[in-house]
Amino acid sequence: MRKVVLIMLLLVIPTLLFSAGAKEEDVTTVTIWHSNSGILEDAFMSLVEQFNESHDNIRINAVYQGKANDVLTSVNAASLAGSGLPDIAQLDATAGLDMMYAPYLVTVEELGVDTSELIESAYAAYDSKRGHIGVPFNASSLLFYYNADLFEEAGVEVPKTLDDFISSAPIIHEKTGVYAFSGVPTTYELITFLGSQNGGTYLTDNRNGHDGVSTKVLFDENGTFRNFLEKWKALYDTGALNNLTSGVSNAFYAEQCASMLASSSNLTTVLENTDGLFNVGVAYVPMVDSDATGGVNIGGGCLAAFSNTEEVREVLEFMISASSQAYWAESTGYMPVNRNTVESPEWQAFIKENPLYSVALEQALSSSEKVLGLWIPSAYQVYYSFQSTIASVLEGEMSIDEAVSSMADMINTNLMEYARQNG
Amino acid sequence: MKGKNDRRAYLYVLPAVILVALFYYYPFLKSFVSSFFLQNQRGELTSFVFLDNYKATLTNEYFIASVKNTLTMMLFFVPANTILTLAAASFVRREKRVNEIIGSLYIIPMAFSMSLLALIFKQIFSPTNSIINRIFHLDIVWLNDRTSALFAIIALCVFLDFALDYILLLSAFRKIERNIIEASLIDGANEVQRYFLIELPQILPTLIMTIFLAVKDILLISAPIMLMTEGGPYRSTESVMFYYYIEAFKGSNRAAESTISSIMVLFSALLLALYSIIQRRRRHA
Repeated sequence: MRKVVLIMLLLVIPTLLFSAGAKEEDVTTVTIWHSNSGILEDAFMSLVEQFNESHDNIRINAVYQGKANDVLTSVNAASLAGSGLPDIAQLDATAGLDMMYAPYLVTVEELGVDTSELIESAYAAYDSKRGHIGVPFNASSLLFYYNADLFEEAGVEVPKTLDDFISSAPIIHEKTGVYAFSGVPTTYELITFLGSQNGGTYLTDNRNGHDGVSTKVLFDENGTFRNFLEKWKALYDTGALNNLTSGVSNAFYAEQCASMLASSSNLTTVLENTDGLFNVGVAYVPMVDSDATGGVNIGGGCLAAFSNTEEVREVLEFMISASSQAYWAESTGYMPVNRNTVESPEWQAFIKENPLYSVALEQALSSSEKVLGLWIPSAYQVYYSFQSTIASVLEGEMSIDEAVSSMADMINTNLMEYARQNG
Repeated sequence: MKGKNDRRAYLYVLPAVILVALFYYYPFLKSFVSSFFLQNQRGELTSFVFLDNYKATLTNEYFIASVKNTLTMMLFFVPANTILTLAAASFVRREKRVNEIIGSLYIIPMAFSMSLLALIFKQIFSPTNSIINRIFHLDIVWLNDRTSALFAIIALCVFLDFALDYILLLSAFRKIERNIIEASLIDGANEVQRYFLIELPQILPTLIMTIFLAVKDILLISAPIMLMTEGGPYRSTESVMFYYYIEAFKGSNRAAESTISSIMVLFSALLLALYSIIQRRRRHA
């Protein structure tokens, strides 16, 4: 018995000492739930370290929660449980709808963050009828990655439109023996492929759900989905397209395909994985037709605040500051969201040395404001349903008309179900 | 005296009853009741809609697909699992040294966590550089194909359940009383007769239990799918519980959450009732 008491005491004393120590310094902890892994995590953690070292009274506690969508899952679970929400969460467009109505969200305006240096279109991506749901932090856009060696071997140009690709893909396939492209487009790609048409169009009403919950899809009536499917089917029918839904990057590294569409945030990872194997090029996403000049949306993620404190504001301002964004962009491939970063001589020197890092930003800056992240309910399900529907069209199990109405019905049903449940 | 003992017995089970009531019955009743209501995102009931939530769930094409997938998996997994584990346990049921070595090989899968095995299987059945394809010179895209992805998951399930079911069956074999077997030897039964007429009937209760455990495992499967395919390719490997997971946790769909959990609890209860009836019938037969 005496031994037990002794052990208990030994365990309790240090904790008492430590907690007392923490109180003395009067440090406020700001918890961030983030979604950065691999190279991104290294870069993010060193930003956190930089902040902690330069601030005596604030300490960032960064907790990895999985992919961006997993962060949302954890946030929703914590909000339902009524406790345990972090101060800041790194979220992507799939969180848009939930955050627009989340009672615990503190908008950027309410928090009073200084956003004057932000690139407008990057900031506008998080605009809702309630205010900005967060500040852009890890901004990215869709990029066309290609194996420059294979393209050279085949003697073809990088496609500017899908029509170009329909004629060059079989040449690549024939001359190099590998697929010209791997992947099945889904929400992210379709925001570009559908949204860029006619100089920029919305996929659903209420500005893709940013001005309140969408009531219906628009891509069926305005013909954009049909137009895309016709081109994509023609591309598939050349035999040079591989419908791969997972491990696309691995196929690209292994030279099983000559090109892929991926987020610009993968740039550093792709370059590291192909270093010494072959030359990688990046280009603007091919346009569906010559009228599809809308460009791409700024995707990636934002930092959303759930506590209205000075410390949270300070952390957010640090994360979007010119120097943090320069560090973040140079180590990952994300686009800097701070205008002063882009104009700084350091960044200009960096992109001169690494020209691939400037393509995403140029593409995004020349894009229409109508090409905007999609904020709809059941975003996760819609993502996989798009892939499923497109694959069915390509494999001849579904006609293009059926596919358009099936996808429109699915999203409309989700919208109606959301309206039914949430009034 | 007897009354006092009874009371004490109730006292002993009370903590367990409280825990079960708190963590199983109360949540179930709560979600069963809320399945007839609309809920807002904070989980508060707003209006009574009777069966509308059930109608919305049961008519959803992806829910129907998930039921089909679950039944398909059950159809292939349960026999495969039963035959394999029974064969393995039968093979080493005699207590010999060589059998102890083989037997310990069989239980190795138990030493690995489910998530680790799921990730290993994800690599084994990778669509781009599958290990299986390289070994057997096949050209299957496994996790990128609707049908083969489902079978890759079934393969993982067989591997996951193998060790436990094998141990249960083996201990059933080893528990058979010697005198029954010796009596059959004296009566001149050969190997085949002894196995099918004496030993198999003796382990039948355990065998039925492993079959029901296998059915239950597939009925409630979600984590291996989450790790291995995320329901893909093209939403073709979503089980009912995985569908529940994405609707409830990814989509914040409160209606689907309460209706599917109610349906699944009722279904599991039916399964349990069936199990009890079969075991009781058998005992009285």
